[in-house]
Order: sequence, then C-alpha cells, then structure tokens
Amino acid sequence: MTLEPDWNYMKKPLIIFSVAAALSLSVLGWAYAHLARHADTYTKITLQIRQQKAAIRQHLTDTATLKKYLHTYARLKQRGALNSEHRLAWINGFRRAVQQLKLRSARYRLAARQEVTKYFGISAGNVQLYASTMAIDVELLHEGDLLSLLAVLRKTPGLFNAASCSLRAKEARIVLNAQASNVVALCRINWYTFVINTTENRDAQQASNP
Amino acid sequence: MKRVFYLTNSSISVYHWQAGRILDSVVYPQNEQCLQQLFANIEAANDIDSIILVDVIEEEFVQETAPHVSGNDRKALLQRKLRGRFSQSAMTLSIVQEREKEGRRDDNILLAGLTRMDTLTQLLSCLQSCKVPLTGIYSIPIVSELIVRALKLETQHNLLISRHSDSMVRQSFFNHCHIKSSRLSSLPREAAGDRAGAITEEIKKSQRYLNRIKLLPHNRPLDVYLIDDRTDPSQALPVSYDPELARFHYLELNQLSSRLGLQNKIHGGQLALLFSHVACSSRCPHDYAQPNDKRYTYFKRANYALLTAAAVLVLFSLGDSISLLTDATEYSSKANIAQQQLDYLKIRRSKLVADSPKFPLRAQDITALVKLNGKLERSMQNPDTLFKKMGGHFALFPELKIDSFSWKPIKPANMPSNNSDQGETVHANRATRIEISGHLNKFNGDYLYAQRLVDRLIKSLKNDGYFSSVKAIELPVNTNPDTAVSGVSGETNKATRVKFSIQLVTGEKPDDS
Repeated sequence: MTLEPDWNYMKKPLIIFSVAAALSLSVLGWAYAHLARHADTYTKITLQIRQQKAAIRQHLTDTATLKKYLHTYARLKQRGALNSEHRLAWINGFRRAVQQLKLRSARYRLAARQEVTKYFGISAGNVQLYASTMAIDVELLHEGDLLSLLAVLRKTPGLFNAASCSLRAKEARIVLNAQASNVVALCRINWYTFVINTTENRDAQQASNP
Repeated sequence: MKRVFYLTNSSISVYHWQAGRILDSVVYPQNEQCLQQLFANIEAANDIDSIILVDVIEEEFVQETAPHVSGNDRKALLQRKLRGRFSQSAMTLSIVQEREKEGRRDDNILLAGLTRMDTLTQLLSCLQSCKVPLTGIYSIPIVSELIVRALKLETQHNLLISRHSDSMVRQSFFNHCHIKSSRLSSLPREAAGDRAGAITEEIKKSQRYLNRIKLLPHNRPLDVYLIDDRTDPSQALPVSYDPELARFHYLELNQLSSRLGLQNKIHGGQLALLFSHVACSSRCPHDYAQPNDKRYTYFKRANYALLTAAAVLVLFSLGDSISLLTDATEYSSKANIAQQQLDYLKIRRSKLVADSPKFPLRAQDITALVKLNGKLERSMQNPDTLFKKMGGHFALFPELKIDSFSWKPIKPANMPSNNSDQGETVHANRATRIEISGHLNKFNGDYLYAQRLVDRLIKSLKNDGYFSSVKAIELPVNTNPDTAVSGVSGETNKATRVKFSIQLVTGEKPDDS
C-alpha cells in the first residue's frame, strides 16, 4: 500500500531542511573556497621558494664553474682561438717563417672554414668549433726546419695542429749547403676557432654582416 | 507526551501520559454532543501522538493452524484467513504465535477482529481530518499479553481477570504468554453485593468454554490471576472452587501498577489507566491500525527526520567549515612565513647576482667550450715529440737512413665521411699512423746483417712503449714463403739499395682501424 504524502503537513520541515541544506552547502562551499585560496597561495609561494633556492644553487654552481674554467677561456682568447679567425695573421706568420728559415720554395692554400664540432662526438650547445685547413708544400734543408716552421707559426694568433705531414728526401744524396733543399714536406695544418653563439656575438655578427 | 483514547461500549476516555504518569483523564459518554466536544478538543490539540485502546465486547478471537510458510506466502495466507473469518470487518489482525510440536508442525495463528466499530470509525475519521499522528489501535487483550509477559508467569494455562468497572469484568486466557481468547462480560446488577461469587460463575463459564474448544485440557487446572484493589485478597477470591480445577492468584492493583512502572495511585475502577500506561510505555507489535490510519505518524516521523537531518546538516557544515577555516588560517600563517622566506631569498639572490663578477659567457657555454677544447687538444699530434722519439731510435742505427716520413691521424670507422678540404684529419681520435721508408747506407751485400739491423730497429721501437703498434711493411729481404726471391750471390753490388718500410701507430689504436 502506498501512502500519498501530505505535502502541506510536511511543508514547514521541508522548507527548513531545504534552507538548512542550501545554507550548509553555501557555508561549506565558501569555507572550501577560502581554504583552497589560502592553500593555493601557500603552494604558489612554496613553489617560488623552491625556484628561488634552485636559482641560487644554480647561480652558485655557475659561478664556481665559470671561476674554474675561466683560465681556459682566457688562454684560448689570448691565443686568438675564439670567435673570429685571424687568416691574415696566419698567412703573414707563414710568410715570416719562410723568410726566417730562408726556404726556397713554400706554397700554401688556405681552405674555407668548416664547422667540425660534430666530429668530436659531443653536444656543445652554443659553442661551435670551426677548422680551416692550410695545405703547405715547402722545400726544407732538413726535417728539423719543419719543426722550426711550426714553432714560428705558433707565435701567430690562432690554434693549429699539423694533422698530417709527408716528408720525403728530394734526392738520394744529401747536399751539405745552407741554400740547398733536401727535404720536401707536404703538410695539412688545421687552424681551429671556437665560435660561441651568445646573444652579444650574434648581434655583433649581424652588425658586421648587415 | 502521548494521548490515549480508551474506547469502551459506552464511552471514550482520553488520557494524557508522560514518563510513566497519567497526567489527566476526561471521559466522554458516547452521545452526539459529547463526541462533538471530543472532536473539537482533538482539533485543538492535534499534534500529540495518540493511541486508541479498544475495550469492547465486539472483539472476536479465533485460533487456527496453518502450514508453516514465510515471507509473502505467509502474508497472503494470513490475509486469506482473515478475509474468510472476518469478511465484514476492516479491523482485523493476525498473530503467528508458535509452532505445533508434533505432526506437520503447523503454525498456531490467532485471528482477531473488531466486528462493530461505528464510534471507532468516527474517531478515526476525526483523527485523520485533524491530522493527528496515530501510533496504533490496540485492544485490551493484546495489551494484556504485555502484562502477562512482564509478570513472567511460569504456569501454562493462565486466565487473567481484570475488572474494568463495577459491572464489567474481562477474562483473557493465555497459553503461557500467548493470548488465546478473551471475553468481556457484564456482572448482573443483583450480584453487586457478592462480586466474588459472580466472578466465580464467570470463571466456570470460561473454563467450560475453554474445555469445549480444547484450549484447556479437562484434566489440567486453570491458573487464575485476579487483578483487584482490595487489600484483603479473601474478599476478592472465590472461596468455593475445586482446587483441582483452578488455582487462584491475587494481583494487588497498585503493586502491579508500580511493578509495571505506573506512577499513579489507582483503584479498582481505573484499570484503564494501567492498560493505557502499558500501551504507552511498551511497544506492542500487533495492532488493528492500517498503514493509512497511521500515515500522520509516519509523516510526523518524516518531519522529525527532516528537522534532525537539517540540524545535523547545519551542525556538520558548521563543524566542517570551522575545521576548514582553521586549516585556512593555518595555511594563511604558513603562507605569511613562507612569503617572508621568499622575500629573503629574493634579496639574497639579487645580492648574489649583484656581487658576482661579470662573466663574458654563461656557465654551460664555458663548460662546453672546455670540454670541446679538451677533446681537441687530446686529438692533436705533437710533431716535436714524434721527431724526438724517431730521432732517438734511428740514432742507434746510423746505417739506416730515412727516405720518407709521414704521419696521418686514423679516422674512426663511425665518423661521417668528410669530403671537405679538412680531408679526414679532423676528429677526436688521437691515434696517428706513421709510415717510414728508408734504406741501408753502405750496403755490403750482407742481407742477413741488413735484416737483423731492421729487426733490431723494430724491436727498439716496440720496446719504447710510445707506439701502440709497430709493423714492418717492407724488409731488406722478403722471406715470405709464398713469394719468390731472386738475386746474385757472392758479389758485392754497391748500386743495390736495400730498402725497408715500417708502419707505426701512436695513441689509442681504434679497434676497427
């Protein structure tokens, strides 16, 4: 048997319950929102604290790293191995060496520079290594002149490596004369330059190549 | 507080009961005027929980047996039996009392019905229209069962005799505590002086009736419990009764009342107060009211439930909100402390940045630069060292002269091909292949000596440790058994040049080179 409800009899409690429910939900909702707001503020501040701490740690680490490696940077800069090539100095250095060693025949060919970072198997980020190969063909009195030639070149700005060389006796018999040439040397000298793509460098490059 | 409408054949008494005490009583004789007055009073106070207690002659009890079933089957069975027995009455009830101990073990069922109920119908109609919450409609025999249970009688066949007025006496028969039959009888007017004798006659009638309907075996005595207010039990108890047939027990009214929790002092004619108290204070599971009669009780309970739920909801939300606000306050204070820490860290960071020297490039760039430079430096060949080493070894063998000398880095197998001007000279591998070709100066034709000389040179180079590999490419004499050798023996041919060539590797020799 189903009882038909008497809504009129239950009107007042129903209204009271509805009002109480609405009031309770409103109060609860407001309280939750209030809590969520403060919790959110706290979470954001703690996140910022973590970020600040991380930034300070990073700054200290970076400073230590910079201090640790700055002498290498300074050395490379002093050697003229950073950012711009000194082609004129290299050619001039070669010419000076030939004059100093009084070599009879000396030819060179300096190739266009190429980016060679990838051949070293590391990801260097903003740093790129360029190499310009200078092929030289010189006639020497004896093989020691090659070392002297390289020693003179070392005084020029730039970083180089005599990557490969082939020396052979020009004649079967050695001529004991200061003006003679007994050895022919064919060498490939790689001139290296590090280019660091910092914002300032890019701006400078754009300014120089509008 | 509860209200009891005590309905008899001649009147309706109204009692207000609260906490074991009857607060007041009003008797309305059954006439039109008094009933209107009653209904007006009901309308004026309609919110009190009410009980109707029926004490009328027109109540019938029937004992039946039925197969033991349960659930909806039992409900249907009982309804069918009630319809069969009391087809004209809407006020019926059924009580499944106990199971038989033998045979099919059927259920013993008591069927009860109110056969005439004009006044009750009017009263119910009034209660419905006034929206009075009616808890139940009980009859005196049903309530008597509660009294018998409270007394914890150990006897089996019990007859409870209660005198409800000077002229009316009710006899209710119980098997143990289960009501089986009840009868309201009026005492003859001429018996007013010898009430005990009149009651004795009524007991005998009842005993014969019970014997006849086999509720009481012939050879079993009847235990008679008489409720009366007389201080001297001998005045109330029958004197000339065969003790083989009946044993009499006297229940003093006020002692019984206090035992059942009624706080009022009552006398013999007010037994209705005791039954009203029992009906109000105990929960009787059987009543005549239909669900529709009690609908306002349900609605009132629903109202209470709603109000309770509303109160609980408000209290819970307030409690929870206070808890949440406390948490929020805690978060707020923690946020304030954290903000101070953040401000301090910001100042510290800006001070650190301000105090730090200005570097021309970033840390990761300088790290990359150093790593790349390290790899480059490790890959560079130093001709000075090479020349020094070679010069040292050849100085040990002045007969051996160098014709050509070359070095070239060994390209790793996994390096991409490079067709540029850099050739294959740029990579991180520090291994270098050196090739030396020469001849024996002033050769006198002694190939064995020449061979030994070159072997000693090779051995000297191997012992140096600077070279990771030393290999002869060409020896003064090719002693390979798979090739042919020819020459002129016994002559010294000064024009003959005895050549040799050696391949050396410095640095880490790649596995796949």
